[in-house]
Amino acid sequence: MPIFQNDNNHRVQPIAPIEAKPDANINVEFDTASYYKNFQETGDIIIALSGFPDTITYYSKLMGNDDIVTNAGDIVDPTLLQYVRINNFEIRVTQAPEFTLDDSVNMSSVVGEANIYPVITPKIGDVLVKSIRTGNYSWGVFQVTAVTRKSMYKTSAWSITFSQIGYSESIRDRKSDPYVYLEFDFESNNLQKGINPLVPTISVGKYRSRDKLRNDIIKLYYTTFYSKSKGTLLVPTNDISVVYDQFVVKFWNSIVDMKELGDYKQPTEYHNANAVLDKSFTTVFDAYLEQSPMLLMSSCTNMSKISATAFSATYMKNTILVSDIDYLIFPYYQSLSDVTSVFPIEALIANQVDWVYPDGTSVLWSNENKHTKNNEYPEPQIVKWNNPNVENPPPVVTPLETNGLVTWCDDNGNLIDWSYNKLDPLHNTYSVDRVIWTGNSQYTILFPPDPYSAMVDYIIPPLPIVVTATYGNPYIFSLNFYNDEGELSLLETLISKVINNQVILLKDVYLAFEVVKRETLLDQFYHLPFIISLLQVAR
Amino acid sequence: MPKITVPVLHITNTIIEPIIKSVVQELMFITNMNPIKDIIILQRVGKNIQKQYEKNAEALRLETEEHIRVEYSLASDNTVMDISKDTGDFLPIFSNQKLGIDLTPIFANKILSLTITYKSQNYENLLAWLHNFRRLTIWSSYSNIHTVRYELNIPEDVSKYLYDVYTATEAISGYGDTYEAFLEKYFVKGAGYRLNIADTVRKIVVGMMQTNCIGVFSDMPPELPNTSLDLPISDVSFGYTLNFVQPTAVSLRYQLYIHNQTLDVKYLYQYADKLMHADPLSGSLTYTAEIMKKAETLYGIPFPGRVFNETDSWIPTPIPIRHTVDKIIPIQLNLEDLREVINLNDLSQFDYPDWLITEFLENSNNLLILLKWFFNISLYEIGEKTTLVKMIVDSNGNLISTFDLNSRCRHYLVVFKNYRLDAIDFSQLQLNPQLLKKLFELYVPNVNLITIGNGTFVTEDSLLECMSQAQNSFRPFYYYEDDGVYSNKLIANFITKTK
Repeated sequence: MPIFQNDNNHRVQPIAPIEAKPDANINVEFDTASYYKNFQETGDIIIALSGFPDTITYYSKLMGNDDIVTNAGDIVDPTLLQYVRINNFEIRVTQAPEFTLDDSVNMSSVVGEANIYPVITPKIGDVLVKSIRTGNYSWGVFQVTAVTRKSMYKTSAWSITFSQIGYSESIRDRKSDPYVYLEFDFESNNLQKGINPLVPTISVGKYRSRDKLRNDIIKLYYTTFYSKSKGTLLVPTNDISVVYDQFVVKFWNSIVDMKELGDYKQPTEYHNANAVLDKSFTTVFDAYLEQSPMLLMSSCTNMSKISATAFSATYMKNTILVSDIDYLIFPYYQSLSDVTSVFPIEALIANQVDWVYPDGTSVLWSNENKHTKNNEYPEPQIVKWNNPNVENPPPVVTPLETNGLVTWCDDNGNLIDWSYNKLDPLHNTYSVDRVIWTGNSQYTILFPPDPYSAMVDYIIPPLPIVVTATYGNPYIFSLNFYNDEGELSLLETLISKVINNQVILLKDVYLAFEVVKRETLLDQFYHLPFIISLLQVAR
Repeated sequence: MPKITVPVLHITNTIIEPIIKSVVQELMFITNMNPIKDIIILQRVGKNIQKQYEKNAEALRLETEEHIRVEYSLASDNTVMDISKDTGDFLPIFSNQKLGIDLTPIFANKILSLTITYKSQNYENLLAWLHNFRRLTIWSSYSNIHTVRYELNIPEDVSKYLYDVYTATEAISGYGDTYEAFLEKYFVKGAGYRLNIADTVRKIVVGMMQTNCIGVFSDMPPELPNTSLDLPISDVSFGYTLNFVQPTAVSLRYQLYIHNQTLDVKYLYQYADKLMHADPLSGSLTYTAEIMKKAETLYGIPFPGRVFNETDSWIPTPIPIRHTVDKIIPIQLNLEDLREVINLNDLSQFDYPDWLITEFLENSNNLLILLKWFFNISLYEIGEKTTLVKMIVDSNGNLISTFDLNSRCRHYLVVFKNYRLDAIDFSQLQLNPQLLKKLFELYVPNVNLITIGNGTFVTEDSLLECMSQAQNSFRPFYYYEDDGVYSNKLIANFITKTK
C-alpha cells in the first residue's frame, strides 16, 4: 500500500463543523472532543460558581492519552499542538491577576486565578487572552499553569491558575492561531437553558459575528417598520392606511430583549384586539415559540385586513379603537360564525356593518369607504371565499386579461367573475380574493369592490401573500408548510426544524438572510423577526 | 556538495515517550504483570507536573485502580564519543541520486534510566509478583533486548526544501508525479504524513525501528511492597536502564541547480557551521566563500583555485593531473538547442580580460585539450553518473556539445589552468614578448624575460615560481595531488627546450 496515497482509510477523519450536532462525537481515534456531548446536569454547579465574570478568548488544547504536558511555548508543530478556540468565553475570576516585581532585575510576573464553567476541561498549557487595558498592548496572553477539579461529580467545574506569558495586539493571539483546528462561540444564554453553550463558529462571507448581524437586523427593522407616532410596528403599505399585525408585535416582544433595543422603545402591543370575540388565536408564531407541531396544526392560516372599527367593544388603555390604526391583520373567515353570533347587535349599533345577509354573513366597510360612500360607487359583488376546509377543491378557472380587465371563466366558457387587473408584479400571480365560483358553496358573502382598485396600478394584496400559495393564501408561509408536506422554502425548512426540535445550522440562517434581504418590504416584515430568532437558535 | 545539519524537534513527544511506553509494555510481559492499560509517564521529574487526561474527562481516574507509574531521566553515554555529525555510518532516509540530494539522520548514544512503580490493591498478588521478579533477576547480568519504534520529524525547512525541489523537477522535464509520489519514490518505507484533525496541516515523519537496544534491571533489588495508610493500595518499584541511540539531527546534502533551474534556498543557510575549525566542505557554501575571501586578503592575490559561484561547492573529481581549477561556471542549457553550451566571448563576464578572450578564440582548438595551452575548458554533466562532455568549437567561438545534453542533469563548465607548461608550443609566443609576459603574470606578479636571438624567453626562476605557485595555492583547500613534486630535471629540460 503506498504510503503517500490520498486514502481516507489511512488518515484521521477531518471534522466537518457544519455537520456538528449536539449529540455527535468526533469519530477519530483521539477520543477527546467532549464539546459535542450533551450538556448534563450543570444547573447547580453553574449557580455555585463564584468570582466576577470576565470575557476572554480561550485556547483549549487537544490531548490524547499519550500526549505529554507541555507549556504553550514548547511545541511549534501544528500536528502535535492543536487548539480549540472559544470566542467570548466567560470565566469567573476569583483572584484578579496580581503582579510581583523582582527589583534586582526589574522583571515582573503576573498570576491570577479563576473558575471555569464545566463545559470544557482546562489543561496545563491552555492559553487565554484577556484584556489588561494598559500600555500599547491592551491584551495579555496568559497560560494555564495549574488546574484543580472543583467536585467529585461527573460533571465538574474547574479552577485554574494562569500567568502571563506575553502580549497580544488583538483579542485573538496570532501566535496561537495556526494551531487552531476548530472554533466555537460561547453563548452564555444557553447555559440557563441547559443547552451546550459552545456552538461552532462558521464565518460566512462578511458575517463574522452573529450578534453583530442580529443587532444590525434589529436596527434595520426599526428604521423600516417602526412608527413613532403609533408607537408600534406597522405592516408596510403602498397607501396611507395604517395596518397593524398584533401577532408580529407580540412575537417581536418575546424574542427581542429590552437591552438589545438600545435607544428604541418596545413596540406597543394592542393586546385586546380580539377581546370582542373573547377568543384567542394561535398562529405560526405561537407554534414557533412553543416549539410545538400540534400548535402549528391548529394555527390560523387565513388572515385578512379588517377595519379596526370592528373591534370597538371594550374601551381600555391600548385598545385598537383609541389608536390611529385603520386595519388589522386578523383571522377573518374562520371566525365568521363567531362574528355572526355577536356581530349584528354590537356592530350594527356601532354602524360598522353595512350589509348583513340572511345566512349571517356581513360586509365590513373601511373608514375610507364610508367617506366616499355617497359618491358614485359600483355595486357590491358577490364573492365566494374559498375555504381550505372545503372537501371539494374549487374548480380550476382560467384568467383572461383584456385591457386591464381580468375575466374569470369556468371550463364551459361561462363568465363567473371579473375584476380589474390585479396582477401582482412581484409574484407574477393573480390575487384570488374575489373569485366567484359556482357550485357547492358554504359561504357566500358580499364584498364591495375596492373603490381605489381602478385608480391604483398596483394594489397591495389584501392578504399577506408572502410565500406564494397555490390557492387561498395561508398566513406568511405556504400551505405545504402548514400541512407539513411537499417542497418548502429554505426559511420554511429552518422554522419547521425548530418547531420539530431539530438542530439548525448558522450557515443556513445566513443563507436565508441573504434571500430575505432581497424580498419585498411586506415579506421582510414577516420574515426578519424569524431570522433574528433563528440567529440565536442556530448552532 | 553543500551539506548542512538541521536539528530535529519534538524529541520528547515523538521519540522518548513512545520508546518508554513500548519498553514498559515489554517489561510487563517479561515480569508476568497483569495486563495494565494505564501507564503514566511522569515527565520532568522534580517539577511534579501530572497529566490531565482528556479522555473520559468526566470520570475521575482513581488512584486505587491498578496502574504503573514511570519516572525517567535521560543521560548521554559518555563511554562512546558523542559527535552529532554525519560520519557516514548511517544510511540515508531520503536519497535522490539523480539530483544528488540525500537526507541522513544523525544519532547520539543515550542512556534512559527508568523507575517503574507498580501499584495494585492486591497486596498478596504484588508479593507473589515480587518473588517471581527476584527469581528472574537474581543474576545481575540478566538483560533484555528490546525493539523500539518511534517517529522522526523531518524539520520544517527540510520539507520546505523538498517541496521546492519537487516543483523544480516538475517545472522542466518533469516526470508528471504528484508530490506524494515524489516523496514515496525517494523516501524509505515507513515515511508518511502526520496530520492535525482538521487535515489542514501535514508534516512529514519517518517511522523508524531500532533493534538490539539493551536493557538491564538495576542492581538494587526491589523492597517489599509498601501499603498506604490512607488508601487501600500497595506499591512496589524497581529500576531499569535502557541503552539506545537517539536521533538528534538530520544531515541534508542539497543542490541548487535542479532541472536547469536555480533554487533560492536562503532559508537553509542559517544551519551553516559557523565555527572557524569547521570543515568547509561539510559547511555551507556561503561559509566557504567567506574563508576564500579571508585567504585572499591574507595572501594579497586572488586564489587561482577559487570557485566562481559562491552558492555551489561542486568541484570536478578527479581534477586532471597538473591542472588547477580556475573557474567553475554552472551552465543553463538552451532547452530548444540542447547542444549549445556557451560562446567563448561570454567568458568576459567571469573576470577574464579582453585580451585573454581573444587568445581563447585564437587558441580555441588547443583550449579543449589538456596540457596544450595555458587554459583548458571542460564541460561536466552531473546526473546519476558524471560525464565529461566532448565539445567542438566553431569559427564564431561557440562551444558545441557533440550530443544532446540532458536537461535533468547539472552542467558545470570548468576552466582549468595548466601548470605543467612544457607541453605548450611557444614558437609563436616567443615573437610576442608582451603577450608572453601577460600570460605568465597570470601565475605570478613579476616575470623576468630575457631575449636570446629573435625569441624572448622566461627566466628559470620565474618559471619555477609560476609552476609552484599554481600548484601550492590550490592544495590546502581542495585536494592533494599525488604528482605534486617537481624535479629540477624537468624544469631544466623545459628551459633547454625553449632555448
